[in-house]
Amino acid sequence: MESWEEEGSVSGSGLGAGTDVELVRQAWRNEKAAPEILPFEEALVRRLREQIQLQEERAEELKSEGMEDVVVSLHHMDSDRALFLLKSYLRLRLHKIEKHLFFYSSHTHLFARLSPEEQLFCNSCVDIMTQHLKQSVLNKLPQHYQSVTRQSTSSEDDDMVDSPQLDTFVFCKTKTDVGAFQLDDTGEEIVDLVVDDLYVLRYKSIRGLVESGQINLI
Amino acid sequence: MNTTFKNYQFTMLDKIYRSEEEKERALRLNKDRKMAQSQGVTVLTDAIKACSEEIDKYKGKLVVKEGARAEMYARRAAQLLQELSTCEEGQLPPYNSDKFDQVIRECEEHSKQFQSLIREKNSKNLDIEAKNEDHYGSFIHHLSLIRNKRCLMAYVYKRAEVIQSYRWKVGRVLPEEIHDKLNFSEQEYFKNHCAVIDSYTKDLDLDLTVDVIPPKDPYIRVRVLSEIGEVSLGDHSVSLCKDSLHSLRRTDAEPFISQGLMEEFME
Repeated sequence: MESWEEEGSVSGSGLGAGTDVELVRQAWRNEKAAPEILPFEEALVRRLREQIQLQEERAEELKSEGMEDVVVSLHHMDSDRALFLLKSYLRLRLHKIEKHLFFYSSHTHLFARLSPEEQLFCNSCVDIMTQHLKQSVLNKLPQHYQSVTRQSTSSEDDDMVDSPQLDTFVFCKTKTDVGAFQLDDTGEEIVDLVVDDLYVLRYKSIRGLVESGQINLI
Repeated sequence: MNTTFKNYQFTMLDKIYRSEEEKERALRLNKDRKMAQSQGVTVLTDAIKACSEEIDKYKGKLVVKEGARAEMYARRAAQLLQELSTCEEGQLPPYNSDKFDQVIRECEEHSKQFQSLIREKNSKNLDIEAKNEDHYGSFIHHLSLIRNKRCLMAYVYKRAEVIQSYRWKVGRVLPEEIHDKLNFSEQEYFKNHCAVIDSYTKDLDLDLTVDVIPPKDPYIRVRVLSEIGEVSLGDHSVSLCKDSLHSLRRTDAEPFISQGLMEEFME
């Protein structure tokens, strides 16, 4: 995709030329590999959508100018691919929300990572799932056992809520030199993270680095 | 010749000698084992004796009352989940309302037993902190009830997860054979979940349920499944007769595909 854009023979407005497609692709990869939901790339998504729109218009323009079909179709293909990436990114997030509904809706710092539309989605899903669970199970159980999030009224915290597995291993690539990095709380395991190197680490230990953008998941 | 014979003799002797040695070792081992066995038996007998003494002490109380039945508790609920887990990923067995209701009844029974044991304990005017057999008995009922609850919730939740995945895979209308496997609440849940996704895509103005496979080509080959007729696409019009093949822009073809009027043609 980038190669024909770099030749500069067609136009400078192509999606490959900007780095936004690349950024969304990385956001998509991170989202795909991370066990929990990551902060929503709001500005990036907005920019990409505008660019896709422009690209589509550009393609139509070229067509009306009598440009060769193959060039027009390349433009279409470019925007189709970017659109796929965007949709796949949003879909991934929805699936994650669906999977741990009650967890995300009850943890405010994670809930804040969702876009306004996703928050609405999450809340509505919680509502219909609660309704469904009540109707099928909880209303039929004895009095003290009817909570969705707790096993019984004697539970002290939410012990029925499943949470994402944060200690799974992920493949990752460092973007910058991080230096000696402590993998666990005790400080027994220290790894030297060098720029542009590949690692397989527990997600939990590099969680902060993913959020600060020092490391990319692949 | 002579030396060969001698050699042969030696090997024979060697063999005999070795087998003697082995026999001896085997005997020794056997003896050890026997000794260990007899020791083990003593330990076991002692343990059994200690146990029966203990049982005698509590006879008529917790051990006899609950012990034998405890292993039966929550078995039905586990069977319910087993049914689900033996099913292939993304498939659903029919909703087993019989077994489900049996587990619900089991839960009610636990609750009743729990309360009667608590009453019994309270009637003995013991210290609140005291832990007698009624306390432990009621605890078993409490835990079994929780276990049943978790199983039932897991059953319904896991099914709901599969059901909501159909929206992405099959679409808004479920085929009859899937629809029949759901209970009423699940059918309602599916409808509600579709509505939630619809309102999300409307807010976003992007239909996420299409474009599930990365596009290789802006054009795709499609086969028309039912008569559509003359359609104008962009600057030209196409006659879409049943069973005809066309190469269309993906974006033009997708609405027809999702309505089930066309399918992607793969060679």
